[in-house]
Amino acid sequence: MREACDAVEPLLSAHLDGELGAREHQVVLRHLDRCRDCAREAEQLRVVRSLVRSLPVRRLPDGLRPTGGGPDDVRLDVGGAAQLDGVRRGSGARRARASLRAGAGVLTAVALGLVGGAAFALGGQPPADAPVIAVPMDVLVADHLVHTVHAPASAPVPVGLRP
Amino acid sequence: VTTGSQRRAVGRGAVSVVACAGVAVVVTALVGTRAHAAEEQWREVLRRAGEATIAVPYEGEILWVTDVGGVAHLERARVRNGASGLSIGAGRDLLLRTGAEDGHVVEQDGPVMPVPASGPGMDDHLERLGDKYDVVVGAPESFMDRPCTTIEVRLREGGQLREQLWIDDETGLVVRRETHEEDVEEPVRLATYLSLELGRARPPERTARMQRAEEPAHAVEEVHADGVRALREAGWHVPASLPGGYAMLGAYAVAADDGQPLQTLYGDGLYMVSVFQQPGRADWDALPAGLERVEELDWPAFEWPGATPRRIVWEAQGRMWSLVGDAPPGEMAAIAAALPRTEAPGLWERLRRGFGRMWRAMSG
Repeated sequence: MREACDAVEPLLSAHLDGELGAREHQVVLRHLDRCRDCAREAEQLRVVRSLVRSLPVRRLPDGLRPTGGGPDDVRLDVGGAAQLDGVRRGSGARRARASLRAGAGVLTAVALGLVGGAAFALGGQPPADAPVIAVPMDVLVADHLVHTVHAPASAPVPVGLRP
Repeated sequence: VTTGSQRRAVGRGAVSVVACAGVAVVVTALVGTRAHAAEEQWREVLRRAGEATIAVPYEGEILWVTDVGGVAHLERARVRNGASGLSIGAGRDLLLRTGAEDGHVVEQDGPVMPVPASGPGMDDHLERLGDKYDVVVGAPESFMDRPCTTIEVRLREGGQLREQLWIDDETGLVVRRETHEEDVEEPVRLATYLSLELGRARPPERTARMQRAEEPAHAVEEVHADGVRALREAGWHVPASLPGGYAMLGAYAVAADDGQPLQTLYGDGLYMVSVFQQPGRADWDALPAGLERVEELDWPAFEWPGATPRRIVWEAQGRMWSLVGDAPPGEMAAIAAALPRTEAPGLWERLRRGFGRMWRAMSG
């Protein structure tokens, strides 16, 4: 019986995902009818998967979304979801490629952000060719006063500001 | 068929109509004459006041009080007017002198500035004043033990009190001036003599700064109509008028060490403001301390709270803008708001500029 359990256990995940062939499916079903331990394990596995699937789906920005056959959605690695996905896919290499692509996307985004930020900061600075000038405020006020001293309601006013 | 009594009644009626019309004409003529006489009176009083500022020799102490957000800013100075010109000293410095025979000469911290005698004529001022305001000569009052004529100036539109003047009967000098703003009972600005001695005006004291100032000429050149058109075509902002009925009275190019300020002068008959524009960016550190953001404006513009005349400065469109004038605070803010303003470039404009600069830097 233990040998049968060892043979069936690796198939349980694929069985729950409906990925087994008809013959393997029948074998697993028959074993689960007879073996209460494996049936309990299969039930626990089903519950855990159900819980994980109920977690919210986080979408990555378009520029970071894996392409080339990867999933559109990437689940957060909460409660072993990613691990379960890995078990389901059974493909470490694919995961590694997806991680690589995601990492490259992140790096590209960071680089673009840095360049854009620098351009934004540079664009906010005043034109470099504009001369820096003094605003001779006292002179300007005096220029104003000599033209206004004749005004009908003119009263003397100070030119400078109090120190 | 009309009876004799009917004819008499018609005759009496016609006589009554003619009599009423005659009375109306006489009353209208009398009222018109009185209104004309009243207008002539205030015009004469103010014309004399404008001339007295220059013509009457005197020496005294003047106090300015400006209300800024409920806080009173005080400043006082000695004022002397005589053959050598009008001088106003605030503290240690002699600041302004006018009155040269061929026009006006200003001496202050900077160079000597010969200014053309031509300027807005008194009649122009009074004409504009009468267009925008109602002016009433009030009851005689005594101020500093001197008999004075009082004048009230109200906005014709709305009747809001704008200005109260106390004008010395003997000399014509404006010895006290209160400026009012809408919805504010107390004056927002007050200029009043604390003491006044007529007929004496010592020559202004010479200071080291004045002596330095006498060397280089600070040329001011009036820009005439053709020049103004050329300036506009060259991209200078020279509006013919500003909000509040302020018409352009003149334009002046000022030769300065760095930058060439263009001054355009505007007035509404009572107040005057000058707009100065200089190409370039400001050396903000070189400006006098005490700058604060102008609260009435929704872009970065700065002023020295309580300064008389009010002076507002900001950067816009690659130029420095300075607004100097004695208009009430609300009108000054409206005028500043009508001029080019500091505007932060939008996201795409900043990125475009920034990438352009990066490209230029990389391509050498």
